[in-house]
Amino acid sequence: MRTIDAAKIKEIVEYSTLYFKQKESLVNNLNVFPVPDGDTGSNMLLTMKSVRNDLMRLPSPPMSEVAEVVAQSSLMGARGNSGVLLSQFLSGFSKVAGNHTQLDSETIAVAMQAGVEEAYNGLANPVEGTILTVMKEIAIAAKEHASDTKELEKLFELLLTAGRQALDRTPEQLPVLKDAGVVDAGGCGFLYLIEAVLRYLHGIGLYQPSPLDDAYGKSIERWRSNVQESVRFGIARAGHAFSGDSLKRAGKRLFRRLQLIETVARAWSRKSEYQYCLEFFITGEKINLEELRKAFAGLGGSTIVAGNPQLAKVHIHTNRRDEVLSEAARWGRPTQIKVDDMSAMQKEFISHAEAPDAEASSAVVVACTGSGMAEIFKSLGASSVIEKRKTINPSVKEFCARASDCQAEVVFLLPNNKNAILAAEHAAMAMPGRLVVIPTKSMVEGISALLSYIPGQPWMDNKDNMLEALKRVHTCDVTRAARPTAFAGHKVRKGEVIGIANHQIVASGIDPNVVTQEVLKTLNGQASPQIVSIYYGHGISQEKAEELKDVLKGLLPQADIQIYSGGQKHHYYLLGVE
Amino acid sequence: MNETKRVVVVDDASNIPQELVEKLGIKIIHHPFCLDDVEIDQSKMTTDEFMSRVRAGAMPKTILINLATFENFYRSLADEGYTEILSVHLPKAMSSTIDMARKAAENVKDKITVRVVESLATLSEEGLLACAAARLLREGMPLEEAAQQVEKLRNDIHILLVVGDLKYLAKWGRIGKAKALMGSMLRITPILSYDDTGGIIPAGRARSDAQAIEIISGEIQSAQGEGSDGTGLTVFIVYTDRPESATRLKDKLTSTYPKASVYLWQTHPLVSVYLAPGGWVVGWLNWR
Repeated sequence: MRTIDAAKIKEIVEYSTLYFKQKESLVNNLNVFPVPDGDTGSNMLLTMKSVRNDLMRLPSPPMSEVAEVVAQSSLMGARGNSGVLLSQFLSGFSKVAGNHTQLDSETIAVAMQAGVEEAYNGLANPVEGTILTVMKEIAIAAKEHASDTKELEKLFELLLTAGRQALDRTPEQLPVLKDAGVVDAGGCGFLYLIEAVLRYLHGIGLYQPSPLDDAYGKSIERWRSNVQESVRFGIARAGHAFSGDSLKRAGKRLFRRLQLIETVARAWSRKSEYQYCLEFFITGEKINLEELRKAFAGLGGSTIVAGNPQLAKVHIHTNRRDEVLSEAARWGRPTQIKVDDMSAMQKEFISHAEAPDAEASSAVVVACTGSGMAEIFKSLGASSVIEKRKTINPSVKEFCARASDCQAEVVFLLPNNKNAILAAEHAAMAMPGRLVVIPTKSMVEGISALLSYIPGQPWMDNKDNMLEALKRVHTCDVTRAARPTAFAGHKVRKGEVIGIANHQIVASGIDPNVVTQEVLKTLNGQASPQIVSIYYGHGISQEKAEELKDVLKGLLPQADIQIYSGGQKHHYYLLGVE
Repeated sequence: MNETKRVVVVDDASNIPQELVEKLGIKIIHHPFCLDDVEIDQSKMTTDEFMSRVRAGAMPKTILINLATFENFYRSLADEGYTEILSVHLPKAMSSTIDMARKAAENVKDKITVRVVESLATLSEEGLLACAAARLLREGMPLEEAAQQVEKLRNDIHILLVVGDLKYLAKWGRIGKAKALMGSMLRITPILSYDDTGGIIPAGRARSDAQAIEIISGEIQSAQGEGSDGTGLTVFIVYTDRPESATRLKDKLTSTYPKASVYLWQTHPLVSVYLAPGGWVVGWLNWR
């Protein structure tokens, strides 16, 4: 094959998404750091899923429209660092691709270059040894081979080889990967997407094994233990099942979950206005225009239905785009569907607005996990709390929707997870002059920031105070190693309790209480803490937490030890040391 | 009887250290108050005794100073030979005391001239203003000019309240915007201030007494500017029942600002009513 047209792009997106779904767990399992927030695969899948869903709604769009949808949907569905970087790549790629009706090897090389540039531009401090490096090396290979490799199958084979070499080098570039004995998860995910294109070009079935699985999936043993772990957590993870049927079941469960997430996110969208302007034709045989009008009446506003029993034209402003389109399908064959995102137009308008004045009202949107934590954030005055069940990874869309609901001119976003900061920053870009990101890397930092937020004070002061507060608190957490690792010469087995202080493992053991004491001893050398706030969660009873408090009183007699129920998953204890 | 003799009157919500009351010759008019609906004679109950009763569950309540009390107080000063009074009182937003003072001033005008000044806030603001007024009168400034000068000073006074428990303020409906700090699931010490109309507003949240001291001394430092030795700075620190934190702040301020006048004392029962057990207040004014 020498060229790809718009219809093929749609098929490639469909194939890649379904293929990636099988690799989600494997990519999650390659978590860089042994904290079980391995969601790189899930985040990339959600990003792809968003693109796929939006593309599938367009029956036969031209390349320019495909490019636009890919860029927009990937950004709006992007989650986590890798998801956002992938969306940036796709956005840059689409800007070039959108100017062509067919993509050949040379256009692909130029588009990939643009994708890499956009991904790098999105970051203040790009780190090598990550998805970025893999993207970059693949783009360099494309540029090198494009002129003398017209067959796309051949080109993508070369890209895959270059990508594998880049991925295999990531542990040399990022010591944390080397210590953990893994390659970069996001880079691996991107490689699977390149492989997916190659497999599509070769016509390989979705469920045929891949040589990458053995190389990066390490062993069937880990897969099995991961399946058991998933069952224990009650999480439906697709990808590591051993038969086609169970894979489908797992896939369906995941799909249902994704649908739910999307539905909820959509419900959060603006209440006071409609997000979409839809126009389409319905071709049928005996369309009753009066009945058709009634059918759409409850789905939105500014509804116009005109035409004749064979061809009806519908115009509607709605937040329920999917329902409108499925309703349309009940009446005949919807064609020439035109979807305008009015909120995007509005955002563009807002972007020309001036920065809010000093007296502007403000509110805070917080992302968190754990019902206790959600309550704490609410009690401290957060206007909106995005409570995640497992890991904190809200999408750009969720941040935007929650911020839109706040009755305030300036909305502060507290992402509370290092992997959610980028999504928050993109949300801020989508709503310029309105959102301010306070880059909290943990819930403990989030609490510290929110305590410094004083309702009614000028927003600039609040911003400065919150940023200042981040410097005052040391964050520690006590959790379970998601995979074997090592620190300071000690080996840590998977499942062992580990203690992390300021994002570095400093202790390990069997009892969370003992590990917590070890962690605090390492901190005590740096400063004598005045307040130690302990938020207990996963598997820790109040009695156990009280026991820890009593021991710590002896260890740190000068400190005020406070315990609270956080209810967070994965972490036995989260600690704020001030 | 041609000689002008002036004096400052202030109600006891003003919270002025006794040594300054004596030094500046300020006259204090007392608010009556009740504990569990029984009227208390302030001279017979110490703050510690009062606070232990509040801790044990007794509900305190202040009673408005009535017109007759004001008139009698002004008349008795006239009898002592005073000819002009500068009377500083609680803001109208917080109490009707000022209305009583104005009415009484009108009723006694044939006997003595009373100029009433409304403070923007209670506690140390009222006290700092009364002290400023007394100083100005002592320097020989005419009554009206001194009153206007004092009214201008209202904008230069800073007050921070460290409240032991917000529910006491909430109980008297004086919590205002500080309500936003209520209901925290974390143990926090709320720091409050006043807005331009005397309404209580949130100013900060501390996790510990040490942090509260940091926040307050930080505020004073930013108001004073770099390199100040405290010349012209007067600081009032009052506490209800626990002197530890207030004393630590005083020590810190006296070492940072050797030229400042820093006063620390235990407040009387009336003020404790609002601050709740464990509460304290810092007010400061720079004359420069």
